[in-house]
Amino acid sequence: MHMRETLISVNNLVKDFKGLRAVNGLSFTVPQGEVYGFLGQNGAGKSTTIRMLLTLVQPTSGSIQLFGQNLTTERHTILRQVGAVIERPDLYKYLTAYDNLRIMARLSGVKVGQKELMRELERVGLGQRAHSRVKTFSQGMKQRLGIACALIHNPQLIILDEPTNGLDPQGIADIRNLILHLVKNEGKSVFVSSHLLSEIQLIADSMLIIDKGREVAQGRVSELLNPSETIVQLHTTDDAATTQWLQASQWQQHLAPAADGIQLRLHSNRIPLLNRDLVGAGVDVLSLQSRHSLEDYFLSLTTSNQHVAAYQH
Amino acid sequence: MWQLTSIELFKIFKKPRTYISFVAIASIILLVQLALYVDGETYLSFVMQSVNETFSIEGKRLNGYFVCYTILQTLLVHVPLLIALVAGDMLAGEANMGTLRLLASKPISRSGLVLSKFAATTVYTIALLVFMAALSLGLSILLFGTSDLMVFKSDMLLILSQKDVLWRYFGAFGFAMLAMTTVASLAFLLSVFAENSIGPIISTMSIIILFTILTTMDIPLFNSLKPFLFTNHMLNWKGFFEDPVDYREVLKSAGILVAHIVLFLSVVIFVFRKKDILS
Repeated sequence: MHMRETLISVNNLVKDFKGLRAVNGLSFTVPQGEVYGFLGQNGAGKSTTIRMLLTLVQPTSGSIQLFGQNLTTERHTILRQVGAVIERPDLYKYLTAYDNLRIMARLSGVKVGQKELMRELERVGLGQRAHSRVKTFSQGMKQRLGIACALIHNPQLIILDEPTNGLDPQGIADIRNLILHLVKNEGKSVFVSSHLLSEIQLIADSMLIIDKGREVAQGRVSELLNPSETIVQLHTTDDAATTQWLQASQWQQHLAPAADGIQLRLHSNRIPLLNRDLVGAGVDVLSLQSRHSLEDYFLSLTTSNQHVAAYQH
Repeated sequence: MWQLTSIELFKIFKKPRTYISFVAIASIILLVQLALYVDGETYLSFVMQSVNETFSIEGKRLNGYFVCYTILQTLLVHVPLLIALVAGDMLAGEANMGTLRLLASKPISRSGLVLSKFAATTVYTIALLVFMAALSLGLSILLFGTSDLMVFKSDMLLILSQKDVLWRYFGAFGFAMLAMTTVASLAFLLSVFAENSIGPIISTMSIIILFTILTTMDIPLFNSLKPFLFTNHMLNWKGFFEDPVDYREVLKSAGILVAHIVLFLSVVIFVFRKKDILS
């Protein structure tokens, strides 16, 4: 197995907006040549992080490196190798798809001929509508044109912020297939954000989950969504002291963020051992139960509270 | 830089709202020309009411030069609105459309982006004034012919020889371009703080209306403010229709307008370079 080169390296990134900490000490690395999922519910800080990766927003503190170079000092060189669709694919509505694409190519620093522009439009299924104004396009068509604009200068890294928002099932499948094609057949790297675990699960090799601007989990998707692992909910007579004890013990690596009580992420056959250790340490256990699968746990982290409540009922 | 400016120009001239200004100017000029062509002598008699009692002026009084001067006096007050319509949209309009984030995430410097947008706005301003000059001067000369130009001042009537007029118009239109570029830079400045173009357009016009009122009202307190109001200097295109032309005064006003443009543009660059683009 060979080590993949690091494409994005983010270290202790913080962004404050007038008293609100939108991103709180985020650190992650994205390897080259894979789909990296960036998961979190709406307002978790995904778009702010992506905007910092694209120099639209200045970090309060922390550092970002892309392609091994400092984003602040090597902005021009880096951005030439990056294509992005940020939130909605807003384009010049009074211009045609062809004109929009031509402008984006020139702004990205490449001279692209008519044939290449048409080829790119055909690739995203807009060849027949090349000379129609964007204001006549559906949301799905705009999204595809946005992706064409992100790809026209042949970037190494493609950043897609919620690319399936507002799309019908067929549109979602098309985008998914395009992302997989870009990575597998063209050797690109894709950093894709979503608030839907199901979306990320289908395409990403690795993922980072954030909540309230903080990292919740990161790693290989196959490991994070390991079906043999479970979330254990623990209640004791003194949760704070128990948490302190757990943090100092071998169970520290299993602790998971929790809104209430203590949660641990571990294989179900280790639950009795955990219980023995707790009793041995003199912890008064009130309850210890395996609550739900990891997938349910991540869903609860990346779905709105109302949604979770409805789901549980 | 040229590539960025050409992209901005392409966008400006592909946008339907750009042509509102050209249609509005053409409509006003053609209407004034039609009215003067049909009943210009009545208008002239009314304007010269006080002069006619003392003097008898012979010759072709209603000529292309006079018509152009009449149009300029009326129209140059309204042109700032048409300029603000485009300049106020340059950054705020992009923010509103969501395209500003596209531009700012490209490998181009933010200063370069601002400068190219302002260069394109200046080209639009110049194009609008060249169009206005072609219609108000060129078409008026074709329709009404040429003769000596009568310029009515508050305390005198100045008659400029036919041979001594055309260059004055070139100077006046050149000065008007500078004045309108100042308006464009003001709208551009307000545009950097807004996320839709209505705010900068209305704010620009409000500032110009307020400053123009302060400029025209003859109250001692306001008089002390006048040298600092750019609207006061914008009116100095009329200086080219003095005899002799007070070049010192014209150049001083031009310098103050240039200083305003540089100041406004510098603030835009400073703010835009630090701005978090959240639209």
